[in-house]
Amino acid sequence: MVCKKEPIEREGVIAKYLSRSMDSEAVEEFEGHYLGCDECFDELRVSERLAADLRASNLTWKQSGGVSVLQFKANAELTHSAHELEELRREVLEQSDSRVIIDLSRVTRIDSAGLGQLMSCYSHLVKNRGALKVLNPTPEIRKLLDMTGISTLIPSFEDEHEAVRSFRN
Amino acid sequence: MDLNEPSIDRLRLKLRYKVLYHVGHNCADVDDLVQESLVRFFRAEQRNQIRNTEEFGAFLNGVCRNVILEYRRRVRREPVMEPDMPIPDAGTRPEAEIFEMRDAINNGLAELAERDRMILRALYLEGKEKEDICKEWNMSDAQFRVVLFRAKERFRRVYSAEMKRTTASEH
Repeated sequence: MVCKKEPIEREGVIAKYLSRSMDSEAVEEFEGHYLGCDECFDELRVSERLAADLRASNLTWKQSGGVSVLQFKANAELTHSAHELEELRREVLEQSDSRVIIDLSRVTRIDSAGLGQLMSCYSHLVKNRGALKVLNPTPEIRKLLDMTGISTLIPSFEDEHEAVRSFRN
Repeated sequence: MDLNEPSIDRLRLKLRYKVLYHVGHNCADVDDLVQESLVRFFRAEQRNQIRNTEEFGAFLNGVCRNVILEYRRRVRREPVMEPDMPIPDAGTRPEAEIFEMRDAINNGLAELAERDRMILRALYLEGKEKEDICKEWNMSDAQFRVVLFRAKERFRRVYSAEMKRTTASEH
């Protein structure tokens, strides 16, 4: 039983559950436990908030001329297993902002999941009568955006002010 | 098993958490799935079908799992939406909830050292084992424990305040 374990062991179980690195049998067992145990459920919720902060820590948000600008604080990968992908999803798809610029200058790698996420963000914003633009992609990322045709839908800019101004046109 | 109003609310909260974990925030039917699970659970309880009432969590979990599986089968069978049909936005987190999360996050770990943050990321986001983290960062079990519980303590305070606020707004 989870709460009979040493606190640090219990935290290990919670961390695995939150990072979705637990097998399905263990997930069932843990869920069956926390549904009946208030203490473990509270610990799970506390850890969830902690994990949310850790996830959020690499992506910053600011407003510039009525446009939301998302920037990575450190080098980031927009790949299938990267937490930045989930953070980007939360910051774009779960917010009401419709005019968004994503600064890609610190994005070092992007795969099909990352490109798919960019397209999901684009579709979501267009549906909300907004637009998505990207800022300063590295030459490799720019090449990928051109090759896949994404650059025809999501324009890229080298200057933030210019990108913000483009929303007014 | 004590099924008074606060404990039912608590069960609802836990079930909602489980359902969201499996179907995601974009699912518009989360509350229906929670309600269906609770109804089936109470029906079973009234018919004395729960053998071990002390361990009711496992039973409730089984009920909820079946409800989710049935839902998935139903969704697969049903035709897809017309392309020009408006997309339901019920999967989006309410703005107040997002604001509270951002607020909690700002209060929680603002002063955490970068090293501690990286250690916690390895545990919570990358799914690494405690032993591997200690080895990688050249730290003892006790040091790891301090990093972990210091961070959790800050969030425990935020969480308690949130729970109090939620309870107060319900009454």
